[in-house]
Amino acid sequence: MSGLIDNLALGFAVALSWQNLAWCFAGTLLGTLIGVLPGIGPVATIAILLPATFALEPTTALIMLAGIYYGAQYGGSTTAILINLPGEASSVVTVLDGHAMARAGRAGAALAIAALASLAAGCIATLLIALAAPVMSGIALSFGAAEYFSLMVLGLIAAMVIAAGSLLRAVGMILLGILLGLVGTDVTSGVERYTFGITELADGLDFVALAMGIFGIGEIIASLRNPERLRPGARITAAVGRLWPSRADFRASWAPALRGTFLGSLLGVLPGGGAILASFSAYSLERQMARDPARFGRGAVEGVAAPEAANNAAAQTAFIPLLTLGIPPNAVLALMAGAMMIHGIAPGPNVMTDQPALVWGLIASMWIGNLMLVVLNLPLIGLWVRLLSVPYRLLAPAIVVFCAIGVYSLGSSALAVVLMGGFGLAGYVFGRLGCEVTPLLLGFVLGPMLEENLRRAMTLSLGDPTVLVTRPLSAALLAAAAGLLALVLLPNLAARRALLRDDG
Amino acid sequence: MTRAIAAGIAALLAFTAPAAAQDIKGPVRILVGYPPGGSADILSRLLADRMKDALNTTVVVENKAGAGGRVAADQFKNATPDGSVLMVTNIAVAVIAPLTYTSLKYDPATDFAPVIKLGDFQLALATGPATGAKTFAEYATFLKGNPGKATYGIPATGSLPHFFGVMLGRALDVTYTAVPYRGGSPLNTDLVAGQVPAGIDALVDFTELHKAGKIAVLGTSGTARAPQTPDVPTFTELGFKDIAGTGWFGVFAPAKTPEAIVTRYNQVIAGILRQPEVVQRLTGLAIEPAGGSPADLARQMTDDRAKWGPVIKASGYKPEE
Repeated sequence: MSGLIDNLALGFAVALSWQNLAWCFAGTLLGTLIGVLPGIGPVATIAILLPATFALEPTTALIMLAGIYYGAQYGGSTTAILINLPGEASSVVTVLDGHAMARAGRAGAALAIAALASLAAGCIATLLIALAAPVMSGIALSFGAAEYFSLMVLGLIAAMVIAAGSLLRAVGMILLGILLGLVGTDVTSGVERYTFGITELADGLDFVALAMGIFGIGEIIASLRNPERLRPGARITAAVGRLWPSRADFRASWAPALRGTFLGSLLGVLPGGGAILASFSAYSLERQMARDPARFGRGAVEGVAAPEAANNAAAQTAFIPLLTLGIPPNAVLALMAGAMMIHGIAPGPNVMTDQPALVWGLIASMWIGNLMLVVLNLPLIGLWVRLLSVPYRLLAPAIVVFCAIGVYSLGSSALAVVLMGGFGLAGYVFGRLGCEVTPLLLGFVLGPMLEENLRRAMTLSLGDPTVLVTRPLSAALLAAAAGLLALVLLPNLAARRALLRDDG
Repeated sequence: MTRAIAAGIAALLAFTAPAAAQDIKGPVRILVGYPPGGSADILSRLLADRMKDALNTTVVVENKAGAGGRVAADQFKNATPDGSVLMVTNIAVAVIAPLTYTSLKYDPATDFAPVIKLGDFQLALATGPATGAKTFAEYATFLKGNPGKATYGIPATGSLPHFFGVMLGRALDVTYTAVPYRGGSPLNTDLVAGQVPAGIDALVDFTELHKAGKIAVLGTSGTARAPQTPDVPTFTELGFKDIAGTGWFGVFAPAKTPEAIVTRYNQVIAGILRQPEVVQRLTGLAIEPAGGSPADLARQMTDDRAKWGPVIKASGYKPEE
């Protein structure tokens, strides 16, 4: 315990130096800004800034880059809530209730709850890193291919719960999402699928182009049918309302935020889809627990608090595999590992003992950075909310332009812009058909991981499918999936039976 | 007067030397087919930084990641061959991809002009808690007793480690099954956790975990031991005479770039590769600095095609069917 206090004291001594404070602020500010701009995410930004950190001390460089990463998690929810545009995979579910709240004139409350839930989650998750990094890294190591497969099955079933409307449509959208996710090179065989000989498609469709097209652009196309919305002076919402959440909002949010933090911290250490799994499983959990699930999708404040807490907690605990083993679990942290290598520090299991000042300074800076973000973001809410008072006929074209720039900037690829347009049309058609698009995005992200891990599990067992049920953790996850499926289907079946009885 | 003499001497020199180096007017763009933060990117940025000083002009690195470096190669093929664009790439793009894909949009033989080989990197076989082996002999014994665990993880299907495993499996006379991952990080996680019995990857990905005792590197693929792992024998030392093969990074110019420009780049970069600090940085990335003439790099490519072609054919790997 005294070791921990010593370590934290060292960390704060490092993080509280003027230079590190300044760069931490620069990172979080930049992260917030790029999070708000659609398309330009932390991966692209850190990639651009990586060479510029050559001149900085390694610790300072990592503190700034980390600030960009979790700062973007805050910023990403802003556009999701205000203009139905998830900039990051992890803010996809925030759109559902966040934007509904904004349309009901409660944008300020949604933004404030998102920021405060993220702050709470960030602080708790950082404490967890300090206290239990080796234990948490053990959790990550207990997941093999079979366990990941079973987790993805559970995730895809949970994705059915997310849709507010028809279950059948939700399943259809999940399957469509999985199909879209299969575009690109098959990890197992190396075969290119549905790439039509276009080398750029070899790595698959871009998530950002898909999400921005299907949500943002799709909604703008839909609005063209509605002359009311294009009237001069027409806005996203007539009433801006109060900026601060009510007492009732706080009462309804704290428990979901804590549950979200717990789920997020746990799932964040898993490589790959940690943050997105975390945010939407937190959302599904709240919906399952709610007394009146029908409120979800119509502006339930728990539907903002839980996923926002979860994605920020996951963003922090994602550092654990990097700090304990030197293995980066996602693209952003791979860049951070690259930043360490640029400075001649080899990321490995010994980095915590060899570079205590760097590691604990980074951990302490995350606390400070989260605090800075809230101080930065709460006053900005007033400014962001005023965006809603811009007439929609002016706001809409601006959104399209920013989306196009953002998507193009990802890989200077014109193809991505065309794809975004195509997905926009698809998003419009789905809207007309009454199909919700969130399950599609979840299928898109989880489907390829499902396939990859199933095939890896089969290759490792040399074709023996029983590994999926003989490994205890995998069996438990599959049992949970079966239980959840029953929970989802039974009310539907009961309703249908009741209907049949009434008819007969 | 002196200026006229100088010009005269310069002109004379230009005539006498067969492919005299021509000075390079910037800015120079270095295309990299991999994302920032990886070995290829760190190498290119180091190079760009030193070239900027040596050539006294702007040198920028442009990352065009995708399809294992092939997106950049497609784009590079159409670049203006005036010395303003170079590409840093590796054996995978220049030798392996042409051997595995029939419908490749570029042909290294006709579209690229070799400039210089930057450095070689060794491949390594590592194992973790799943086998408990600390030496290659222990691992070989383990495989005999556990044929169901004769699987090896690789960072990507159709990669150099993949085919190195094919070669190793044949030498060991076991049915050795490759388990592809999405890059070195998830492979390392599974290796440390014991989820996959063994793994083959570039040595740099294993070095730190080996030093910390989380995994054991059993053998490396070079002709001499790697300086990062002096405790690990090469496969040649272990008695597998023909099991050697390293990867490399090289610099290319678009085909039809004037020879004088290629020569100048070759000289400048060869000088950079001799700087002690550069040597040290490359060693940190487990890359052994190379050099040599453009013809040496061309010869390396021919040799590698002859070496890996039969192995790839024997593996039956065909991504386009």
